[in-house]
Amino acid sequence: MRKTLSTLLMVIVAFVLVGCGPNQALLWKNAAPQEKAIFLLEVYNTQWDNYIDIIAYSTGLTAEQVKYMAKNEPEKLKEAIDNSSLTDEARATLRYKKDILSKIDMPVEEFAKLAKAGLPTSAEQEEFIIEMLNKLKMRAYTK
Amino acid sequence: MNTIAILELILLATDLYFKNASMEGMTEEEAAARIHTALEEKMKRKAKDLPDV
Repeated sequence: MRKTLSTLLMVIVAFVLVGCGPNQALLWKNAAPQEKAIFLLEVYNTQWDNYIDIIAYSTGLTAEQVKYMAKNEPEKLKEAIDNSSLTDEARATLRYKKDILSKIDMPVEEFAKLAKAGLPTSAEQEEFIIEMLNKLKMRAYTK
Repeated sequence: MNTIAILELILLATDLYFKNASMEGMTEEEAAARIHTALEEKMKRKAKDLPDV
């Protein structure tokens, strides 16, 4: 009961935050490619950091240690992850997040490079990235 | 709905609100500096480098 109430409260807070904001669709439509690129880059970076933070939290390591071990001691990190407090559900969520981030990794970079250079950006690429981010958001709503 | 999913939802919602709000009134120079920094940070974060779980 208490867990349900706290879950409900957090969801309400999220909706209020979105609801109190400016019209998101209009803001997005009117945003310059540079502004869109900043937004997409910052969301990607935040999500990437969040993935590392969750592993750090569940293994008792720091985020810096996780990043170092991922590059230099992958077997040791795998062992730490295997013995972590991550539930099967949390692992599935992280796998989903990694899959989405892998799919948008290059498109976000390409979009940002074009926007930075003042060159025309691809509407299809923008649509694809937004669709992927929406999938990530929808998973959060439905899980 | 698990804890990570809830955190995810809040993170995405607050991201949308604060990032959009903070972009309003940005000058071209500010936008150029911010895109440069964000892109540099992005280059350090390759999805393939994320450890498998």
